[in-house]
Amino acid sequence: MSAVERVDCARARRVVHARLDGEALAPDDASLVDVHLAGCDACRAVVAELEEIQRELRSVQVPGLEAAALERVWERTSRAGPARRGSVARRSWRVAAAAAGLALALGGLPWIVVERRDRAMAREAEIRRAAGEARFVLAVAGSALRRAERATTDKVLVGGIGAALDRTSIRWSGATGSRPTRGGNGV
Amino acid sequence: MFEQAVVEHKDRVHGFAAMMLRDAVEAQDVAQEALVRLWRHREQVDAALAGVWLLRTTRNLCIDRLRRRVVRSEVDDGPEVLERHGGDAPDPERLAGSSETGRAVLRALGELSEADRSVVVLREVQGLPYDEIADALGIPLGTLKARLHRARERLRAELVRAGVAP
Repeated sequence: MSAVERVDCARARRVVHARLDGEALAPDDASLVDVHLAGCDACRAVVAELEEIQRELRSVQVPGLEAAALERVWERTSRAGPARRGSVARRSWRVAAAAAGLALALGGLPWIVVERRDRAMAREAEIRRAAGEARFVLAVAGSALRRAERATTDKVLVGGIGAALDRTSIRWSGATGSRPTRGGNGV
Repeated sequence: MFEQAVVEHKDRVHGFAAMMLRDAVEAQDVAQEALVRLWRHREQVDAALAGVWLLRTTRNLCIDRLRRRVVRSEVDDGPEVLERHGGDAPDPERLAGSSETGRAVLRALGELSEADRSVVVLREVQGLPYDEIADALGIPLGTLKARLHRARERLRAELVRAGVAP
């Protein structure tokens, strides 16, 4: 069996790829593949194409990162200022402190304002309530006074006039209901 | 550590993003974002592994962008979006010189899957060692080599299909 026949095309190409990768080949592999390529036009053509592709890829000139882009990286990182230089833990504490301050500002200040407003409103309500109670008491007193006045008037004008006259020198004479007369002689 | 890692790896990060995204503006954005993320995680990243960490982060950012393009292309006029991003950008004339084969190779590279393109770019364009690529992509060495071989064959097949085989 010849060397070309002993190494099939698939195995030869695997070894070719390893050679393209720069791997060190076993002496037997290298010699067998070389013999195979020398006698196989198809594999020789494939190897030539693969080597050309590799040369083209290795000659690609990729531009580096632009200076302006690199400057933006510095600005966002190591030159960003002391607030961004600290450790994660320190930054976390700063964030927490800032959040607490913000919460106090947003939550505490309105609470103080509301408390003061509530106190003023409570005072005004107390005054209104006291004024209302005073008006009620005055109204009750006025009503009682008016009732007493009417009762007294009625008592004097209707039923109590006799007793009142009894306490005076005026005496009743004649039929019931007749008008009293002063001193029994009539007035 | 951070400043040194940025100076050392910034061009590699940008080059990887440029070859993956084929859009100069997006490549700049992704490179900046990867470097800024390194700053944010600088206390967790081993200085010796900053390069690998940056490549992994850059690749993830590129994948996010590529997925968004797919979504956009489904919403917008797909062919226009795909032509803009999957065509010759970044300028093959500038990247590959005046070689017709070089421009064809870059076009064929754009036709590969993200996984295949990643290994070709990191190995053939940027010349990174295998172990570093395997770490960056999170795959075993054997898988990496198999993927690289497959990607080379697909590139060749694409060139043959396009009638510009070397």
